[in-house]
Amino acid sequence: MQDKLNQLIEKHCETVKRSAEALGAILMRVEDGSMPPRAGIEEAEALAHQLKGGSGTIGFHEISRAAAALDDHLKTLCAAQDTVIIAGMGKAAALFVELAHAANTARPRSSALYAA
Amino acid sequence: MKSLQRITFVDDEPDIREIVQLSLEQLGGFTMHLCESGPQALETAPIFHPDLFLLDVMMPGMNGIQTFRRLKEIPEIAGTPIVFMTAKAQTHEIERYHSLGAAGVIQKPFNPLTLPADIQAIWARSQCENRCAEGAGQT
Repeated sequence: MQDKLNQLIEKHCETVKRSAEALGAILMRVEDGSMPPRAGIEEAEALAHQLKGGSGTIGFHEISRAAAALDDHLKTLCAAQDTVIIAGMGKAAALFVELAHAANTARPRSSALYAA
Repeated sequence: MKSLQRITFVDDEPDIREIVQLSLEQLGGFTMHLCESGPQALETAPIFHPDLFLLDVMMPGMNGIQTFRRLKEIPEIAGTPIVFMTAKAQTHEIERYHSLGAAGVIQKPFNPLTLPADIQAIWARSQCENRCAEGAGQT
């Protein structure tokens, strides 16, 4: 069981990096106006929500916490007017930087479930 | 009490499907049926005939709530307990799942090491509730 779990953790380490990258690309498109704010925020929120649940379950608690903070902020923007969304993008970017850092520095051993 | 043996798990995230399978097969000893979407569950679950469903809420296309409602319309599996597995687990959200008729809620992130025991506890409670309901119907 532990061997299979370790393999899954190693795979998930790469998955979170790709997901964080995709999330960052969406936020950038909202920022530069190439994506409608509401649609972009909803898509980014779904990804943050997924990262929160997935990474936490696979033992990456730091990533899960950072994703939860971003998810909470994006949820408040989902129901807002475009002007409010644009005003909230600075905080979203700051929270994303924390998430990206946690995802990019994650190693299999960072998972609470990993055993050598 | 009937023992829990067969579980259908529906989640669009491959890593989550994998860790749930690992946990419930290897630690729990259950027979698992994995689905990546609501439509796939609607098509294949009546053939697998699970004792219990474990259902993600946020899925693209048909979400967990919609899947729940459609599963309840299939006579062969309409009485099968359904447990939601979700990160959307604030008090009002949990109340909503219960009011729909869910047997329980597992909050994401969950602990894969204790998941089999958590599922067994929900199963035991749902069996007990069924017996109570049958008893009340007979008096």
